Amino acid sequence: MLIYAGIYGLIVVGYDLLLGYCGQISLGHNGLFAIGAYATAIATTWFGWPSLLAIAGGIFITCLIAFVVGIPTLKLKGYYLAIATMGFGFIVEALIRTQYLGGSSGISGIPPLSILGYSFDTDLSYYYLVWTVVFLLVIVCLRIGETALGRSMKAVHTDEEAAACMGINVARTKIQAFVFSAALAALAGSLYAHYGAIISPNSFNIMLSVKLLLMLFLGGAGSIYGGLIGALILFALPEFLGHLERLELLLEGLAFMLILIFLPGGLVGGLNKLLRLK
Amino acid sequence: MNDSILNGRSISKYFGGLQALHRVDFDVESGVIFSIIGPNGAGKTTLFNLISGFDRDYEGKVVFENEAITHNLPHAIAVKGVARTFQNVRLFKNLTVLENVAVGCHGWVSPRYARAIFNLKASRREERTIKEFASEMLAFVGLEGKDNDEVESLALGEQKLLEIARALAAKPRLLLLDEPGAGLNDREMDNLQEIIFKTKEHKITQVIVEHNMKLIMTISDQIMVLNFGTKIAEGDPQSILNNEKVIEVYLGKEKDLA
Repeated sequence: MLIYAGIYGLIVVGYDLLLGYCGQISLGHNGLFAIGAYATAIATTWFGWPSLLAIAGGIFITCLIAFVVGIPTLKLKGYYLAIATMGFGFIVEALIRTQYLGGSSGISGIPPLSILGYSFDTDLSYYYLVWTVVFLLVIVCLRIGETALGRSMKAVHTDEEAAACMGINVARTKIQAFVFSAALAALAGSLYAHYGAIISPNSFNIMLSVKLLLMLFLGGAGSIYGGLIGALILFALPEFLGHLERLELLLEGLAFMLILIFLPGGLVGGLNKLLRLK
Repeated sequence: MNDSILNGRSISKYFGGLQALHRVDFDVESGVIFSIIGPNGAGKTTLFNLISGFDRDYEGKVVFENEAITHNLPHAIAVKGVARTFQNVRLFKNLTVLENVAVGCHGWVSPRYARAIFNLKASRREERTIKEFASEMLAFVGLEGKDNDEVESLALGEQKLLEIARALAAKPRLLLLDEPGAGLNDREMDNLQEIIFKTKEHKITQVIVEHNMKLIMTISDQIMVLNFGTKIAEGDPQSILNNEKVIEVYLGKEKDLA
């Protein structure tokens, strides 16, 4: 559970830079996550690449695709952007459902992740690995978000024209944020593929992007670690519910509505407000 | 050419059938305060938007430091050394006061991902330089001590000064001020005048659109008068005050103000 929370947390942290900071929505991150996962799975399983190389390759190809897709798409604004990126997610999903990529049963027999001969084949070792990566990347994202780059993203978020007059290349700022978040999604995808040993298209549909949104807004957009908190809560939820598991979707839907209406800053934003009042 | 910093050549702009600017020529000498006045709708802000690259759909030529910047993108023009403020304050409301000014530094810092991720030392140094310079600019306009305030907690007058600080943080050689005095009270007006003079001392050329004639007559070296998109006069404050045509279309009874 914690491993999956970490993997999804990783995507959300990058997603926050794109949406929370830069103000650009993407409903196609399930596609980017899928490309990372499939690239790694194919490289290790079919071609016998070592894990690290396969992960790097997965990130590279995902970034490349994000770059090419991002240039025309990120010119769109608001819900046009949301729908266009969603279209991208559908295309990827359609592609991984073809028989060339394993069809609906996906790819199985993915070897465990191994680095320099050490194989992360137990849950505990993988848990440490994932959370070390999450920890490092949260720091990296904070350093991007809370310095000049993050400020230029926030400037683009509020007023693109005024930002441009400050010498900020608006198009480049958006593309960079999109590609960077794609890299994190791809890395998460690679970790996901290695952990599960089997991947299938059902794990990469639009619901994943929707869950990302929920995690981000539940925890608090524009804070980096907020999304991580959101991911943890969402993954902890089924455990607490026990046999009431069927309520999960209902509760998530309710959370979505209540958060956006009463706590637009998410849990982190709400907490900050509470602290400031005292 | 000469020691002029900004030239406009035969600039025309149409909004549909309406001609907003008609073959306007102008030369701004380096280091001066160049004012543009005229009735509402004369094309003053339109001209600003063309110079700063906001609006790239126009005829004619804009030259900055002997280099054509006609139809360049706004960020490219900004990076070359042109900063501006806006008639209706356009601050970044999701950033603090200091952060707003820090954004102004973007052009000369050009932050990089690689630096932020891998070079902790350089990135910290960069951040310190930006913050120090931004505080300096805040102090320059008299907003020291408000670093962490929310933009919306500032009074309108302070917000206008913050915009000037943000523009100055870009280390521009040409500063375009769009109605900096609008909505200011007398005390704030005096403060603004002082800031404009201080900016001039730093050898920053200023082009100012403004309605307050008292301010215009005090600060300007050169004044251009626009009416319905056409230049009707240009000269030093005294000659503009005595220009029959200007009195007729714009100054009118306002003359005794100055």
